[in-house]
Amino acid sequence: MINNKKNMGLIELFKSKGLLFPTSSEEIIEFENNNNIDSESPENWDNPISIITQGARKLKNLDLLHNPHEEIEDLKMVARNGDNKLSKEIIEKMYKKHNNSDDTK
Amino acid sequence: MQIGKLEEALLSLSYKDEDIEVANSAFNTLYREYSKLLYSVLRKVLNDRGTPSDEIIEATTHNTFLKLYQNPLSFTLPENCNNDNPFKGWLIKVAKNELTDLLKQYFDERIEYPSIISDEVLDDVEVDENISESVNIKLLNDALNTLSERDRSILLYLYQLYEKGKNIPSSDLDILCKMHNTTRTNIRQIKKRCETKIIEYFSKNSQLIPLRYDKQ
Repeated sequence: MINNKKNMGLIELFKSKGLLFPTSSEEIIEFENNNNIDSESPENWDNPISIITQGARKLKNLDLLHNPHEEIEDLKMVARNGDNKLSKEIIEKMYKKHNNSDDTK
Repeated sequence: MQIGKLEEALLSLSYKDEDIEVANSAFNTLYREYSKLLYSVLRKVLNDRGTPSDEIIEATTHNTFLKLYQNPLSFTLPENCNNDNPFKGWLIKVAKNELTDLLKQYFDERIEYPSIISDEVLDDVEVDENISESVNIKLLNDALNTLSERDRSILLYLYQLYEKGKNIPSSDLDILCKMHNTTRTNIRQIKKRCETKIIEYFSKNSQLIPLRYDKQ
């Protein structure tokens, strides 16, 4: 008997389950079934035409390079080293982070 | 949206020079029909990458609809099509390109790239069909959750750039390196490490159908 089985690529597998950009009909159906699309509130909903009058957009102030985990590690290190020059803002951040962690327990 | 209405709206947009009011009304209809889907797809993709940003979602959707307004007939409905999924897929592809262009533009203004770097091939690792058939979305998410946040973000960014048979442009890879403060060599190692871990996870946790064993 001829074996017609064909192994699938890992990326194709991710795509087929709607985890990457869904583009085929099946992927879109899968995505729509698994995500609550109606909960979105597009910013130009009340006046879509404003898109045309505004023209193309650019990104201005991305914060993608910010890594909160690195920041926490830095704070931990400062605390271990006994640095008493922490600003009020940083101390508040540490307390906030600490309290948030407690909330999840 | 029904196919007939979609075709009519796209045609109205293409005649904007002759009847701007009808074209604007068609644009409003298209935006309200499809903008939520784009927001949702972009939010999911960016969240999975670990780079959630309302600014990127808004700018990408904005530019995608502007492209649609400027060139509505760049989409053609396939023959015998009975739903608007091909249009949704096309719109998502436009959004994907707009997202890449926006990030490229943003980082180009802030980073100097080395002058000559070749594009790279991204290999798709094969998964045994018996395993891939038994993998569901929960298992995929669980497998992704075994990776560190950074590794997951890098892997998904790479996967989102993947197009079968095409190389990844060097500038896209450079953006990824800069975003995560790493090198291409590390990116390759991270990809390999993540894929090994995911496939191992599948092998251990997927519900493989056992071979039938009949007692005589």
